[in-house]
Amino acid sequence: MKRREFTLLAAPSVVLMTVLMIAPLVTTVVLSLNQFSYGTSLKWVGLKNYAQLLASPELHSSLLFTVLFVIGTTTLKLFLGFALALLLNFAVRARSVFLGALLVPLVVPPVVGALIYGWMFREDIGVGFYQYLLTLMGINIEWFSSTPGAIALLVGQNVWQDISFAALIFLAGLQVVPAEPLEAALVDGANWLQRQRYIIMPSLSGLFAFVSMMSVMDSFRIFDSIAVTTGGGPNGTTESLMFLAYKVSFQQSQLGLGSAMSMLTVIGIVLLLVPFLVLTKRQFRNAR
Amino acid sequence: MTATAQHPVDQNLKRTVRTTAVRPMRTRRSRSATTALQKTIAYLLLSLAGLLSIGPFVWVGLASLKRPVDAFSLPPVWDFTPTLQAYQILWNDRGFGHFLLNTLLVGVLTTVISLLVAAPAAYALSRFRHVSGLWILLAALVFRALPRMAVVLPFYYLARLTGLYDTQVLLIAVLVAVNQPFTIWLLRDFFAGIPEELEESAMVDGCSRIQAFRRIILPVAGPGLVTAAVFTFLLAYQEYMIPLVLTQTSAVTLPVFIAQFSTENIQDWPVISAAAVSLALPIVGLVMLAQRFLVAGLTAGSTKG
Repeated sequence: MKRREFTLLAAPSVVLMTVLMIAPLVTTVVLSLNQFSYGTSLKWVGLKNYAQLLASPELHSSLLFTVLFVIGTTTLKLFLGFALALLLNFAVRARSVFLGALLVPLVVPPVVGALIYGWMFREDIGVGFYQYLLTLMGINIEWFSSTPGAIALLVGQNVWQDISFAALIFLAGLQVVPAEPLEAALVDGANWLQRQRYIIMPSLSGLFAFVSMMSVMDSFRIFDSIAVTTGGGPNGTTESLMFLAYKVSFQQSQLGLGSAMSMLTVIGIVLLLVPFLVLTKRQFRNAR
Repeated sequence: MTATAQHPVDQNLKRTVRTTAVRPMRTRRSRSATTALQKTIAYLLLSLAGLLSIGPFVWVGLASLKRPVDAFSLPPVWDFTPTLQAYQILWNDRGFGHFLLNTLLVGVLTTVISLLVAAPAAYALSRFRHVSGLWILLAALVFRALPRMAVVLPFYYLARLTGLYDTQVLLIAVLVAVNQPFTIWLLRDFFAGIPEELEESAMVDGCSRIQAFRRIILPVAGPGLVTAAVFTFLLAYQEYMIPLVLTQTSAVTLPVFIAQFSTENIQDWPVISAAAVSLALPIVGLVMLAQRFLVAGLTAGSTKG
């Protein structure tokens, strides 16, 4: 393709992303160096917002929660998603029925999924069906008033709603695992676990990387589900980075501080992305 | 887990083994005996997963058909007389239809504009091998991962100054921008799967590049475009933070409406449940119709690389 043709075809999209994404991003950087709220004019404060944030215990606790949340959701999605994919790969006949059921939470908006999931565990107003079942079994967990309970609730909600994404990716991979090494392993007497460990999983390693990357990226900027279930509580122990940024910007009207908070999250995400970017670059070079 | 999940791979093996005529060293009978048991366990586990997956929706669906006195009762009332009262309140008194229409309008326009802008760019990126193409793709990957807040905050500030706050135009513009990187990546994968000889032969016959793209490539890329459309619509329909920050009353979309409504009026739980069901049904219907495209989109690019 000639450069002129490329420019012509790609220009609208590039211009759109420049005007509506790069420009706002640069604006956020500028705003983060100011102190202001809606309706007031900007007051230049330099790096003061960043200094204030880095010293604040709120940021530390929200970073801790976010990291715990990322690790919890990603680990569970990898394990359970792979297990589900194995089951689906085996269930040839009724696969689309099971897939259909598993896809429902994935396509419902996260806020609505989180609301519904949260209701299932409420103990106060007689709507918590799961909580009722747990009580019948003699299990009583405080999902909203204890920190471990609230974290477990949020992790469970995220895994429940997104698990089918991981399962689908692994399923697609399982269907193209080469047959020859498996046959050889079977003839050599490898048991099920050995075949998984030494043949299936290595051949899916790219997919494990892909699923973890997607999960890490999405969990790192989690906001929706927290906003409508725990609201960051109890005592702010489930405030994610984005939730804190939202709270600071729109509930406390400190837009400058909120911008700085957003920029710190951006830096975190870009650092997490580096391995993926390197991989993409290598693939591009090889394809060329 | 070990014993129960044993099956899938065995099944795979059985298939491949049959075709290559290398049989495992096991007797036929013991194999089929374990097969039946394992099969049952696997299907039981899958049914359990399916049940857990849709259980909360069933519970909420039932609640939307109950009178408040039945809805708030545990142990649950199973033999209630279904009533559509909650739906009547939702649609007649709460103006649900208005929010639904607005959400659909925003979703459809976002999808159309996104595809119009992204398709040519994605095609160009799939054919152009210069390094600047790589940089655009890498930038798009970073944008895809960015937190919404970093982009939305300046829009909020500027929109309140210019009067664009709480308008559909602003909402659609931001949604298109935010979805653009994802759409480009998805479509580029589809275009890359179409052999270049196709448009090259058309161009030898005198077509320009643009004509070849419009007349030869786009029609072949139909399934890819549908997949991208389904995903863009889903992203717009699901988005919470962008409308939460950029709208207030007139351009509010369903996720924001439901989140607000439910925190303010939990005593109207059957009505909120009716809202959740009314919001979920169209999208679940769409997905059941387009399951093939959704699966294609979710797995695109992941198995090739």
